[in-house]
Amino acid sequence: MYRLSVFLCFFFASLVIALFTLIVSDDTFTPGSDNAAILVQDLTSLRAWVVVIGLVVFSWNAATKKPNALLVTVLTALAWVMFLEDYMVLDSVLFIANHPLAQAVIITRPVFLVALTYVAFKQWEVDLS
Amino acid sequence: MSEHKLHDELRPSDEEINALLAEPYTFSFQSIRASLNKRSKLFKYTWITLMAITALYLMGWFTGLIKPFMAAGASGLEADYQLHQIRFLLAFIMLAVGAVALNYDYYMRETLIASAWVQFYFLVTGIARYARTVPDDSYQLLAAYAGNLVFILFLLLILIVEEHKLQQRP
Repeated sequence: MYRLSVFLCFFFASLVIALFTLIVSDDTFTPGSDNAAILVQDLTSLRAWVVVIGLVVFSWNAATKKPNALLVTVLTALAWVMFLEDYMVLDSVLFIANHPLAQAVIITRPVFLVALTYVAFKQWEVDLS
Repeated sequence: MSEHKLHDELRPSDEEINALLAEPYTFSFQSIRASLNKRSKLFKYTWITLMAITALYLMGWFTGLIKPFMAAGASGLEADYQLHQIRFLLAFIMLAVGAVALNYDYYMRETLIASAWVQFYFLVTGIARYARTVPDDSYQLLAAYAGNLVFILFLLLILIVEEHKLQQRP
């Protein structure tokens, strides 16, 4: 279950990185609402960097057998904060819903949040063992 | 004789019996105070300052004093206003979680570290957003906004360092 959850987190992170790479490289992407036109540029690139840095540090710690629990806890808190910001305020403007990759990110996001939360709890046991 | 002595040694003391019979450790300001008293003065006063800032923020918010200094005041966007509201709500939740962790003296350092990183995220994204929306001649507003967030982050860092010192103590 732990390994599956970690796999789901990596899968989601890959989707996010791929989506934002496409957004940055392709000018034809248009935001879904007026607010998005301004906000999308401010938050997406920063969030993509959070995902990249989190992924790299987690992988490095796992490879060097260093404790990862605190890192995953911080990333989980950030993931929930970003989700709440999107869901309650930004109305999902950060995603371009028409693109299949964006749809995939939106659909897998709740699964990712549950998986990441599970990993955050489980990682404290994994670090101790 | 030796069995009787062993029995006496195994018998719990009056203090231990009283502790077992006492009411379970519930959430109360008494236990937060007890937890604060265990920590350094710096930790205690930093925590109180954080609480005071929260109270001042609420006073400023409801009287409308801080509205001109918000990102929404510069951009005029409803989304910025809502983002500010949700971020305060999240900060308030972090404070509540911190109070619970302090009350039970449970994973306090980890809770503070997670809160500090969320605050750092608010700081970076908030400044980036403000810098784009604020008029060119209003950089003192941006400095005041950044100063507030940096000050709260600084308080959190003090709490983390003090908690770390407490845990390192033998």
